[in-house]
Amino acid sequence: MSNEIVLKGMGTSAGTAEGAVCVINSRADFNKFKEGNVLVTKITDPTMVMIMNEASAIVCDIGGITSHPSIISRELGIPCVVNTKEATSKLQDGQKIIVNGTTGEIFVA
Amino acid sequence: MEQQEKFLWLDEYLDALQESIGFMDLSTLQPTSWRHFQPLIAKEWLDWLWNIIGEAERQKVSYTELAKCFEPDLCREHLLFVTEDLKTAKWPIEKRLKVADFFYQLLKAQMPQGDLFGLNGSTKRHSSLAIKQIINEGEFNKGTPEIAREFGKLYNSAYNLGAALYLDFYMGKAVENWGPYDLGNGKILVIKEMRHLKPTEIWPNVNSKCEKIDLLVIYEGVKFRTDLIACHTQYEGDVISGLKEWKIIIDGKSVTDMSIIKNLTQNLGEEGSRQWIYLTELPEEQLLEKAVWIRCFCFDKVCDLLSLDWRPTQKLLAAVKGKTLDEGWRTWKQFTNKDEYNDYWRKIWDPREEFYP
Repeated sequence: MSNEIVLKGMGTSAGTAEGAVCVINSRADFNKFKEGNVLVTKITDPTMVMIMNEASAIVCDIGGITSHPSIISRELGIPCVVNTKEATSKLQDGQKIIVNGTTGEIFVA
Repeated sequence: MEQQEKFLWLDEYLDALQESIGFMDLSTLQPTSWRHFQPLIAKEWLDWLWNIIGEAERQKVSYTELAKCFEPDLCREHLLFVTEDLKTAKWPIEKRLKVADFFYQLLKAQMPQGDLFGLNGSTKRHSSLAIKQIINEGEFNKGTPEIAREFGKLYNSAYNLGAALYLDFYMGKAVENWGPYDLGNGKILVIKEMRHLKPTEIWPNVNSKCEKIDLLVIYEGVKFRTDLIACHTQYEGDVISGLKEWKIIIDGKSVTDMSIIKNLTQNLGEEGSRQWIYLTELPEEQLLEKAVWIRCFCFDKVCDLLSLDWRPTQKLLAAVKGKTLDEGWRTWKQFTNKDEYNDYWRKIWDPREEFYP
């Protein structure tokens, strides 16, 4: 893959997916989420169930192999990268990215 | 010497625990972790549990009968929790070993295929014969990627409702994955059970549309493993294209209509979200009380079997009064070095060791 790497974290659910970033900082942000977006947040929680179900991939600032976003992504069969430390500050709404849940790399699409 | 040999299983248990939760970042557990909560009630909890163990002995109830009152994951998790409590409360070694052995005996009765602590990546409640019967009963449906995605969403909704009902750490009450059961020809069976989804005993206002879901999935070209915590599922291979056959039973009824499944996903997801908001907005004192209720509820069936009241005693509830989660957390030493961390926790978890927080 020759695209520019924008972030690297821990890949915890394998596969790659491309989509537009949607940064979720609070529940007030939920209504801007569209099906196929990449869910970018500090860490997921059960209020995000419905948007997780519509996400093409999940990227989090913190977390590990057995954290909430990792477990759920593996069941949903979508890529997940956690422990990026700065995804919510570095990625912008609408930015097109490619998430590689195997290597933990996130590229500009 | 005989005593030492009797507890050799603890070595495997420690290895399994280290693999499962070693160096886990507990800050991702929300709204709190068991290491914040449980030290606050360790002494009172052990007294409560000791009464159950003693009553089972007095009534001469076999481990086989007792084991039916728990799911394996619940046993594994409560063994972990209690081995930490035993050190917090500084119980003497004889009692520590007896409490640990109680859960070990239950696990032995529950898991005929071994790997009691998931060290080898499995959680197998069913014997080989039971699996043959399940497969021979038939009525499996053909899998497609679309259906696999819907099941992922259903699991997600039920899982999150479970976390909202039982906190992140007593999830064993709600969700468990069994397998992998090797079917030959590159196929495995995994059984996902989502249960106790409408516990009005602890949450009177919960409005889930079902109590229990059994999802049986046959994958091809997919490897599956869990660890000591059976909702810590991991896969190698594509779970979407790898789903070959499936069967789902909702509250005892076999369901094939995907619209029913989609509606249930919606209901459980919304209920989980609502419940989570309610849970996380509870004042700390109420959250602590609720955590006591939830922990006791994990033992409801065994209490019923022994004609005991599973509901928390006044002594248990009083134990959290005026305390804070931060107080509980300060029980433990904190580490940035992984080896030091693992050394510390292995000594805490090992009831044979005279090592205390």
